Amino acid sequence: MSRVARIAVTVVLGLVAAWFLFDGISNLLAFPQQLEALGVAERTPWVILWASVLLPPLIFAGAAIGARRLPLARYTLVLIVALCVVATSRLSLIAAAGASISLA
Amino acid sequence: MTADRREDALDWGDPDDPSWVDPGRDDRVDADEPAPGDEGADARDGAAAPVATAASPADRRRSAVTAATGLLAGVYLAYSVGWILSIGTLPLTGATLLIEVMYQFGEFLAIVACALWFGTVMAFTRGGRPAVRIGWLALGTLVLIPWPLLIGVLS
Repeated sequence: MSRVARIAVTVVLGLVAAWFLFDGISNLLAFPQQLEALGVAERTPWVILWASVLLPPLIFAGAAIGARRLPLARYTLVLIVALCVVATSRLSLIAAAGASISLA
Repeated sequence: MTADRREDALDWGDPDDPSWVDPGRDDRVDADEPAPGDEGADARDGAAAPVATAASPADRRRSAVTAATGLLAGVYLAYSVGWILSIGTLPLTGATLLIEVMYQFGEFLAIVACALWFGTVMAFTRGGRPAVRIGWLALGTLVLIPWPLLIGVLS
């Protein structure tokens, strides 16, 4: 039962992490095209865009693996904190991308 | 409550009881002043001093950990305010209702991130080594820096 609950928590919170991954992939695909349309394709912040794709799964998977031996409540709490970190990193990367374009 | 018990409540007890102290008496001995003829007081203080100094390193360490935790709590509070202000600097809007809801949910997660990290570390390290607690809290201050606000201020 506990195993089923743990899997359910992982799947539900993993869906939120998957949305952050989806958002990062969307930015990776759409942002360069927008910059190209504006004629500033050379300013594309590739490192930031790739970081926005890689960080959500890395942070979430790292938290899930690191907390796998904890009780269910603590495991859930660690995953929620991991999602919060993903959310802060996403906003930070968006701000960094905007700044890198304006400064370039 | 019986009548006897009510009378007991108004009774100050036996005045001859040696533990009874009259606050109005002038012959009380001040704890900070040695009593007349009490030449052995200094010697006794000297004997008690090693006991006090033996406990002081642990007390000092506990005080240092408490002070560091309080300092870091202030940093986390400032970060939370920073994230609230950061949301205003990022005018993100979603193309659809679902994306808009997820954007706002992400902003909510960013705002509560500092409080959740701090609370989680405090809960997980209760009764553990103080260095572990301070280490995780210090890591959080590096991970949760409100970059959108800092970038907006610096640029």
